[in-house]
Amino acid sequence: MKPDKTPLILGILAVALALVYFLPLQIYVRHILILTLLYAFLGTGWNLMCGYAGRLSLGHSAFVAVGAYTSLLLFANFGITPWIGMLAGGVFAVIVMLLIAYPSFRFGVKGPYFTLGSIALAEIVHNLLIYFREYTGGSLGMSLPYQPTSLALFQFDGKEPYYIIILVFWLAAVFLTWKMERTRYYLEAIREDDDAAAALGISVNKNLIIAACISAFLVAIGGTFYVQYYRYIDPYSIAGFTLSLNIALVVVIGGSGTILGPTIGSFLIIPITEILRMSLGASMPGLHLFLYGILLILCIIFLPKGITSIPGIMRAKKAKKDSQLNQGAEGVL
Amino acid sequence: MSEKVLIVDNISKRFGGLQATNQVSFHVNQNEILGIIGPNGAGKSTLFNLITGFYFIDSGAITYKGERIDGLTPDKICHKGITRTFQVARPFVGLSVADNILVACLPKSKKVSEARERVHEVLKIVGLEKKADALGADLTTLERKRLELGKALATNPEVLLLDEVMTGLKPAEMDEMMELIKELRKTKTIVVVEHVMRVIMNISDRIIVLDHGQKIAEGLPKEIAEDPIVIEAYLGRGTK
Repeated sequence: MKPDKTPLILGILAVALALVYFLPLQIYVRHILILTLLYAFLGTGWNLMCGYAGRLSLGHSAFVAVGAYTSLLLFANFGITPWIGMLAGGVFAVIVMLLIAYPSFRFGVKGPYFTLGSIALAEIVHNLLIYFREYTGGSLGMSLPYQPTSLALFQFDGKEPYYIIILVFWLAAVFLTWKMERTRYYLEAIREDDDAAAALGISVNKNLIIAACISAFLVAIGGTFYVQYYRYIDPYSIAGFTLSLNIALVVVIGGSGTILGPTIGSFLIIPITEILRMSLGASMPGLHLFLYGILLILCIIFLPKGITSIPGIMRAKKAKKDSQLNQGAEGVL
Repeated sequence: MSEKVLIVDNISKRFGGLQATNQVSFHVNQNEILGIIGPNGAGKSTLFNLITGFYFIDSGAITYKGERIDGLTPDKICHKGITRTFQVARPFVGLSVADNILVACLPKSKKVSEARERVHEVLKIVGLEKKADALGADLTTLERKRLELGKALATNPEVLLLDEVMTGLKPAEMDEMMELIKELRKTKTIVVVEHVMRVIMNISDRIIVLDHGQKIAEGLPKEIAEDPIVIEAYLGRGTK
């Protein structure tokens, strides 16, 4: 058995990212880093259910929205600190997830049907947010009531504290994924063949539901961070299809069903998107999306299993070459 | 007299208009190899699916060590000590051979490290040590069959239900597999569904014969081979 290098890589990555905090970076570089870590965090949450267990959701923005609106409404209406609102949002997201996950898993809904269901869920949340406009501000969205810098109220005037907070969130989520070793193996088996997994004594529904609930909880926490950071949310940006799709893309390109895949994907995709948008967005509108599309197509053609599959592919190539060399040698002898 | 480990009592299963299993009863003794044979569509695999909880029985009872197990889900039945293999081997194709075995070891291990220690042992039993790092998808038929058996063994079952493990193997490979099964019987109770007569006659202590979902015969291999009802089920009545 090869030693597990994940904790080492994770440790180095965390220390390096923590050191970045002390660099005198321009504001927009900091913004990109925060956004990258936010997507890495959301992707890590998404990955548990959709990457490891293979139940592909394209509606995870529903849970981002539930998290964001729950903490925002609790703060705006009752003055409850977003730290508590964040946990409440997480719990609420788990309940929403159970409403769709339990029947889906119980009756074996998977593949495209599950994905369609997840899209429908996000649409429902989106429409509910618009419908209850007296509370949510409808399509106009809602602003976070301003408070001067306060850790207790999760609001800061500079970007630095947000960076540290999302770094901690991300680290916790990746660490959690790493710690869930047994569940990860079970989920992979379930993804490959749920009947064969059940025959080996793995409780399929229980493990799927655990993965789905943790996934929803984490993503909802990301929602609270989103609203605290941007100070404004509207149903389109936070419960829309684009956000769901972006979370999924980051993971798929990085390597779904791997611990660091979402992080790697995020560090590749988010800075590129942002930089392209900032440099080309004004002069040639739309070109950044065009280039982004080309990048995606190249990834899908050459790295369908994501960037984290590169070492495996290289190993397989080497093994093939070695075996060919051996066969050649045997032929000569 | 050895103990009856598994008792199947008068079970039936109907799929729409097809009576797949019709009032079948039999038992399996401790450390015995029971062979189940029958023509295609006789209901052999259905029987396995019913015992292991993949389908629920319509009527009857299945008792394991004095406890009713019908109505339990497959994972719970596996935890009780009954594991089955699938007729068409179902490796987790995206996982390595070692991880396939590891997944099977996990449910009954307290720690992941404990399961990891057993992987090598199981790989050795089924002769897949050299393939440990290969993907499930890259295996040959024989290797898939071995992996299927390895996964079942990794769950450390007391009763092993083997569904056509010989299909697709060459005669020499069959001999190897037979030796392996005979070795396993020392510690386990085994039920074998098999098409290859040479195998079933050689390894079984007792045989039951199914046809159209019903049990039509039961006895020692020699008795079964000479039973006119069995011959008729397999070959037809003839033209005389």
